[in-house]
Amino acid sequence: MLQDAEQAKSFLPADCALYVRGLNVRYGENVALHDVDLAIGWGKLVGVIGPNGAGKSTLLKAILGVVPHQAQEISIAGRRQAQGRKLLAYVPQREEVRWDFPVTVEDVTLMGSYGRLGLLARPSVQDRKLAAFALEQVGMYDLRRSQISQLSGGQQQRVFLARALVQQGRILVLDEPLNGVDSSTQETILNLLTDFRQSGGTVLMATHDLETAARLCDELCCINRTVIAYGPAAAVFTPETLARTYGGTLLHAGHQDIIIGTNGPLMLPTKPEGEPRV
Amino acid sequence: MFDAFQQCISAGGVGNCLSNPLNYAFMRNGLIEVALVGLICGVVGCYVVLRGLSFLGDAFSHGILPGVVIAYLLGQSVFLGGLLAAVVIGLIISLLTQSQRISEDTSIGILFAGSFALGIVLLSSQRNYTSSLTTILIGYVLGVSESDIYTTLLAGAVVLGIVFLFYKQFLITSFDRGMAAAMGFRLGLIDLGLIVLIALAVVTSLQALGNILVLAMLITPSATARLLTDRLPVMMGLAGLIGAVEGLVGLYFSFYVKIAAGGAIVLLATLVFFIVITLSPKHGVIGWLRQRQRQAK
Repeated sequence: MLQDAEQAKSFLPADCALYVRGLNVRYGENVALHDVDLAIGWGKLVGVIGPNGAGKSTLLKAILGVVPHQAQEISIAGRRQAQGRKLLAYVPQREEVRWDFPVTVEDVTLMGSYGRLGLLARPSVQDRKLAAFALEQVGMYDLRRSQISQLSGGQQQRVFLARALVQQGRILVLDEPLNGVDSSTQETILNLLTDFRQSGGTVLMATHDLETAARLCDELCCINRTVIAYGPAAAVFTPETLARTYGGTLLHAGHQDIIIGTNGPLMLPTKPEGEPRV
Repeated sequence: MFDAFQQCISAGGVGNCLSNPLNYAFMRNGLIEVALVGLICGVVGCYVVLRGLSFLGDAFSHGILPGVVIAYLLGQSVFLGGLLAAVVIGLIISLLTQSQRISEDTSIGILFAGSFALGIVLLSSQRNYTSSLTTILIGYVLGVSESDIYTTLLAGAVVLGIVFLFYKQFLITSFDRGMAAAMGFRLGLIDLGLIVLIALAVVTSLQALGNILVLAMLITPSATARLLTDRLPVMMGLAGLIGAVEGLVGLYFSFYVKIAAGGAIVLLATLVFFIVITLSPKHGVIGWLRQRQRQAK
């Protein structure tokens, strides 16, 4: 069931949404990721999980081409990274942005079109319509004239998702989109991600919300400096695999599995494929 | 102190006060120059304020002193001397910041202080050292010639043109660098472009404001504008307008009260900033107090 490195290599890049072979990332002398092999198909909602500092963000950023890296091959929708990356839409971590910047919700959403505009071009009427539609989808249209610092964390995340929708990518890359957002935002985001997957696109989402990952993702990718396991969620989401990923000791306490890891104890959800929490 | 002012009012009212100085060519040139400089610095200053580049602006304005001094001693254009020095300073800064051991602000600090010292040493060999130094450091707006104005116009057109044409690039790299990189924008190149704009704005303002006071026009009107709006294009327009008006009013004031023009302009800009930060409904002290009151209830 699980995809191992050999299997990942046996896929043809042209058939995959994302195809990564022999990826290495170093920050100075620290190895952030080594020997990453991955082959992700179309129409999948893929959760990237792993402890803090395991390289989840780094993996996403290497695929996006924004951190220096070496790789034998990274192909996006069967194209080389440099061309294929126009097909990626991206929701960065909220903490990485200057929220006190004098721009409105509408301005930020419209930035989604910047990547496909020519050197001197401005967003067109069509782009503005796209932005308005995306804001409606995330339920932020009424607040489109607000300055972004006036928004709550959840609302900021919705705007980021709207901006990513305006990018019109076929692969959506999200870095901790569920971090610190309210439950209704979480629902909005997850619904949109499921829709996106339904329409044939692929979603790659880094998250440390294990329960949501297990409940909603089709596939899980466990990362700790390299790929520990990748495959269908049900096959990956086992206490043993998670213990290997989180680098700790697995304890069974009645019905509850606990991993005593380097980040502290980690309670595993009792039902991997279970119903939504009540 | 206000004698001259009272005289011209009694002679023909406020209109007379405004038109009187225009009889002098040096005042006409000076007024055009400060308005242009206020406009250019105000617009470029928005990015300086929003990106937190005040220190870099300061470094440029001090660091180019040797170039200005050499141009001054050779009787050449201060603009060209400053521009050459800015290029050299920019190159050395970008080389120094490659080093991992020494932080960027330390490299910049070392360089600009050292360069400033070099300028002073060069100038101190001259006989009328003190008065020359004063002129260079605080500017001499009434010494602006017609050709200086043309230079300013040209530099201003280039600067404002670039800000307008590459609005998209400067906006996204200032707001969200991760996204900008992911979209394929070349951060290094765009940052360099912005540094060139700041350097151009500083060098253009030298004649009117001098090496020390130029920083004020680069950040104060823009910071004032930031308090008044939450839209970047509006902020840029306002900052340019505020800078230009402060330049004009400050120069008129210095004419009648007989004080140094550069000082008067910057002092006025500072005063306006403090008034606005006190009164601004959204970002000011009063707005902040009102908000606290509301929260307390």
